[in-house]
Amino acid sequence: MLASIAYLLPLLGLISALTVLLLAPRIGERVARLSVGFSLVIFVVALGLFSQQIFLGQGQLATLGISLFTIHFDALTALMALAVSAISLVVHLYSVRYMREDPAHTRFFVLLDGINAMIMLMVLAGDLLTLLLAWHSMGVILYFLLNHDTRREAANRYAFWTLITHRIGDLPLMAAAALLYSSYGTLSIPVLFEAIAADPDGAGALGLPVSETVGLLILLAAFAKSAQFPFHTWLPYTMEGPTPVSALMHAGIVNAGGFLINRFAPVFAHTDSVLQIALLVGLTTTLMGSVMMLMQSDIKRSLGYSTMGQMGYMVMECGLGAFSLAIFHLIAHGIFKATLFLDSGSLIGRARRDSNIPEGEIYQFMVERRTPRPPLSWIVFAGITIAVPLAIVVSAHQMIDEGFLSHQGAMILLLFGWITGAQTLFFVYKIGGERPFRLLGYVVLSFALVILGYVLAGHMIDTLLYPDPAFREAIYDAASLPAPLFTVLMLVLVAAIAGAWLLVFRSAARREPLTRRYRNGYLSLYAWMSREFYVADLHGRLASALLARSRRLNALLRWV
Amino acid sequence: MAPILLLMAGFFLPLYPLSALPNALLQGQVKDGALPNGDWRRGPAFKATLILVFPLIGIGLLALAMDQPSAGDGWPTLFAVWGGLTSVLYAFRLLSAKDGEIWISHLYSSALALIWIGVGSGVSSLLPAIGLSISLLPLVFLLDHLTRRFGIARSGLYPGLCCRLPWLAHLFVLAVLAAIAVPFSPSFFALAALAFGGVAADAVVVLLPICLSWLLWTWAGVNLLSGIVWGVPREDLTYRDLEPRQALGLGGGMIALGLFGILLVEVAL
Repeated sequence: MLASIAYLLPLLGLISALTVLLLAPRIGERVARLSVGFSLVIFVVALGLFSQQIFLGQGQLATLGISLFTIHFDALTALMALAVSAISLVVHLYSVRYMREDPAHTRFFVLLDGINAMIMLMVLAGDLLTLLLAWHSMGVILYFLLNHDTRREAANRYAFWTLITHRIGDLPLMAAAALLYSSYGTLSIPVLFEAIAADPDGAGALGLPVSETVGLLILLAAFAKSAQFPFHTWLPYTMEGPTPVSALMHAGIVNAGGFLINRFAPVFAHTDSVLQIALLVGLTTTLMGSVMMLMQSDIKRSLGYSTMGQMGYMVMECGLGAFSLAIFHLIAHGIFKATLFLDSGSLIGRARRDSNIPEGEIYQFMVERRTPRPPLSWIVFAGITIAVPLAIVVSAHQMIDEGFLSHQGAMILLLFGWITGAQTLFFVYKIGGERPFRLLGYVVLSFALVILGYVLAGHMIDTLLYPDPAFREAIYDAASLPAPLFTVLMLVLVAAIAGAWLLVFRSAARREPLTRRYRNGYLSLYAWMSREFYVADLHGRLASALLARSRRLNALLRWV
Repeated sequence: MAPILLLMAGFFLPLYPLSALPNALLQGQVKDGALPNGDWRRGPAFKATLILVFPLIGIGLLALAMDQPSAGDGWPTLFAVWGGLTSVLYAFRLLSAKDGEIWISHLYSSALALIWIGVGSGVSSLLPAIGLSISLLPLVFLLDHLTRRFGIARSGLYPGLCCRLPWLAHLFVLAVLAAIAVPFSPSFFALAALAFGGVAADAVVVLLPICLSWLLWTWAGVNLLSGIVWGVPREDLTYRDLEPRQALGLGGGMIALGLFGILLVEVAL
């Protein structure tokens, strides 16, 4: 019954698009309110379905009597549908005012409703073909939304980058679907998962096990949709579209990769070495995205790279076996990134009138570039920086899940929590100020609350999405490295990070920045980063070369 | 006998260089005087007929070839490789095609050459062939509308049509999307049927030309849209949009195409 009602979610979106299209000549810009009304109904339906699903627990399947458009409604679907409908509602509400007096507002709302319907269809898909259809359609509709200003060449160019990257991601998903269909003879996703659980080692392509091959293909599809290195260039450059589209893209569409990996969790539970690739790619993307974010002077581009970093983190969480944490991350990121995008325009406007930064320690440090003398000996503060965050993350995990130390993935996430906390405390040391210990107390308290909330919410979502502890263990095992290798890796990482912190503290205390000490290396790294590691240039050159060769070949073959 | 029949089929389900014939016909390049009343061969009715009938003749010849005793001597595999290469070749050449007639002829050759991949892996070819060819029809008619308005259907000459001819531009976008096998078009389901069928026959390698061609079609489709639909419109031209009845007819045809695609996947998979 629930699955049948869930048909309403994409259907209402499509009806909204059609109604807007048909009524626009008569009621003009009021179609925006109509579209918002439909979004509100979709949100209410999603909320009702989510609350019902929590009580029901079991997944359900509904069909129309044909092999296409089946719906699989389970906890993952219910949670994602709720998140998507909430973000969509906020974006719709914002768009009413934003798109006022825009000559193409009808097209915008039709496409907005269309893409929301396709995202819903992807989330709800109960068969491989419907998943493929929705996955492909999202990229195509996004292309048109990003190309909203049809006269701007830049909008057209970057919309194309988006479409072609998404298409690159569509292809592995089709290959994965074809492999699954040929190996198990069904398109139905829940039936497939049962078959995989019964026979996980079925022969796939080129003699490789199906799970391993399909897992790799799913990851590739997710990488392109979630802007993972080297498929990331489309994300920070697509700022030519309207702000609501940026918000929807950064808060919703880009999360599709994380959802896809979670959808195919039963496949990944039977893999041996695929999730480690996700870890590596996610880590690279996180580092690149975060570094690039710091290099930008344009607020929207900076947010774009921030999303890239966050998506890297989300994929990395999957690579560590913390699948449900990735879902929590994508929902949390969706909410805060949508807020940031929707507020960026008015923020710039307000900042032009009044910077509104209180003239305290942060103002002196950030604006006046004054670095006061540190409040304590750097050795004592370095000790606090290293020890306190570690104590907080370990105790928070210990309170929620006593056995967390047995999971390699949790250990690495703990490491990242530690680094984040240490970074924040180091900032307190750098800005100094008149009452550093009070500031330190606030920071420690905030950090403890954030970590505790994160761990608690992560644990709740884990229990909701993957109630079977054996299944959760299987995913963690699939993401594990051989124990000796992991131990060595952790020791090296901890030593390197702690050593680097000490070095930074020492140089800050001596007022001898590392950027001055290693000037040549710093400058060449800066040059690389300012050109964004030449990835976009490389893509551009490659495209130009291919077009030139195509022209030459056509001339040679006389165009027939 | 089978190889000869397969070679003959190569004229209709294009295999390079045999593909020169359908390409020349679709581009209206037959010499003046070779056919009476030369203009009609550039018309949409002739091209649409050719796009629909040629694949059917090709499929008929294939069926005859497969009935021959020598059909199992590795010929289908050889022709499948040839077809895959032809498809990628034309998809690559499509990237730089700006003229509408050349564009549609190259896409026809690239798309229909993929049928050979299905032949090599024993996939039933009729429905995918119909799906791939029928998806090109809306574009044939819309390119003709452009030719009638501007004298030539060519990307880059009259950009920004979405601002001047909204009905025509919107339908043109849909037609290009249908041609490049975007979801809900029969060509999307045809490609899925070929890919799924090929992999089911243990021929994973079929995915390579299918995916590569598909990717290049997308790129080429965007190039075509960029030069016709997007951009700043010229002020020195006279614009005349489609009549509502024409637009509704073409739009209805595209909806019918989508329904046919769903039917195709129901039968093919």
